[in-house]
Amino acid sequence: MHEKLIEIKNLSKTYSGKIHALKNVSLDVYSGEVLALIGLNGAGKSTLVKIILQLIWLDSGELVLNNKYFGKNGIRDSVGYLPELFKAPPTMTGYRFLKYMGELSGIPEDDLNNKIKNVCDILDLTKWLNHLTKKYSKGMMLKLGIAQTLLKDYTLYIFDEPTEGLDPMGRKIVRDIIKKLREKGSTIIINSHLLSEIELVADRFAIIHQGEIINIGKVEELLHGKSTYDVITLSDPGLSKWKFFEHNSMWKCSVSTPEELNSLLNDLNNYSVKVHNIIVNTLNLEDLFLQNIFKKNVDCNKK
Amino acid sequence: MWTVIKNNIQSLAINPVVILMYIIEVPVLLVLIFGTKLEVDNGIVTSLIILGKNWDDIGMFINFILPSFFSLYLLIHSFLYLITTASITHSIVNNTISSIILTKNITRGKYIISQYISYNLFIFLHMLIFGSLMFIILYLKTSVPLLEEIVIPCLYVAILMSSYTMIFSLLGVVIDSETFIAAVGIMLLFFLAYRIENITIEDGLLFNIIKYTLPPIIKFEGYNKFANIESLEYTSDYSLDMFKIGFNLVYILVYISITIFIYRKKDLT
Repeated sequence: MHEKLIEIKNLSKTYSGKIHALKNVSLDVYSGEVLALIGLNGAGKSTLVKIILQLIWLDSGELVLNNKYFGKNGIRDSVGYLPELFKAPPTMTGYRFLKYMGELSGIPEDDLNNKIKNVCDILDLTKWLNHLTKKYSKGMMLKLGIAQTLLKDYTLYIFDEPTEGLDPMGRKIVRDIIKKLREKGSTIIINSHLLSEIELVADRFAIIHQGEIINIGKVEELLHGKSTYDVITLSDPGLSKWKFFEHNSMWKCSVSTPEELNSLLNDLNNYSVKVHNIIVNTLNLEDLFLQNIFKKNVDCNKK
Repeated sequence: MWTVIKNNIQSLAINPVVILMYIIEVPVLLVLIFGTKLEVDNGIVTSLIILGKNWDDIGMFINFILPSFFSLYLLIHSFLYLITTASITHSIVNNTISSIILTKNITRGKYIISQYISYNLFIFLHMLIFGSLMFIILYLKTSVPLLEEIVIPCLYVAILMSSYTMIFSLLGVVIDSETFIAAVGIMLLFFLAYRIENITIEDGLLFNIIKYTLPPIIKFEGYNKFANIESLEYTSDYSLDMFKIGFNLVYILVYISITIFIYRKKDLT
């Protein structure tokens, strides 16, 4: 594991003294990793990101930035940020907007035009550069927002919903960009609802629900041992130990661990019941996410 | 900071409300250049033809129509600028671009100051250019230098708007509603401004608080006093009282400091 880039300790944030956006959140972000923050709408993901960006101030807790990676200005000028629902000023052309952002980032005039051209070529945005942004589609606007983050090499990139509204080709381009940034050693934090998309690029996931991190880890760690197995037979085996249900004129029994599967197969073999099929149901991030949310809600209701 | 100022000035130059001002200004200047014939003798207009119409009652034109038109023109500009500057709130508080800009190498304080300077610099330049063009055209036609009558009223509008922008910036970081802020501005411009100078202790605490928290330049005497001499050089209502302007600067510093203080603590959700 790399060094800690950002350390968040017991962070809490309340809006208007009533809405608890974040409750005692602790999280470490490591240099060179892709961390995905996932959660339902209003879970607190954007608040957490904005606290890291110091656009929102924390009520209690601590946010520690590793000085080795951040300059004297802290987070400022060290981060490429794509906000949620990004919208460039409608009276600007794409080129003028990128030039403005490049100038604010302190990129020399000579380099800036080349940078804009390179970034827009990657994002397939070049032919739209001289159009006013009010004529941009949702996908093009998002690409423009991503383009402004790529004009400079930053320590940290924060993308809030970077693929929402993009077509499959656009999503592939963004995934490739994220992979390349990681290869260069940058750290990336992604907020997204498109779990199948970020499952392909993220190293770690933090599931946020009602202002709390309810699960965090690498995807393989989180999903380890989470597969289920369906054993299908053509007739009812009549074993009281196992619950078989009728399913499409056949009989099905579901087990959740390899040990249980072995035990079931042994029993079926002992009673000479022929196994028609075994289906391995691999859990994906979306299933895991929904399980976590469901479990958390059940726990809350019990309390 | 300069990058933000430069960009804001470029954006303001193509703002729809500002374009409306150009649409009003250009015909006025064209009529002055091509449609107006003036004969002047020692500052007294002896013959006046506008768009082919010969004005017999020159005194009426000089003393009433011209200043009325000019006052109305300045009032329209003040009103349109008021609508434009109300958007300063949106640009500093409620905008995804602001959240990106604040991750760049610019502090919140510098960002507020950049916004304030850019809006006011644009208004100042716009009014100065327009006033100067009017001054040059009339000077070439009459040989009478109408500096106080034309350029200074234009600059007065710019100074007046600097006070409004200052109030809007402060209200913006507290209230965060462009519509509300524009409404406050209109109320100040059309209703309170006429009355505010005459507020006394008997008017109650609220009115007195309003009177003393508003910068002195807002307490003007109105746009409806017209010329009182029969020449092109009429008495202007828009004289620049240097004491008031100096005092205004103190207000600006205090207001901007409070705005920055609040903005630095504000959550940009």
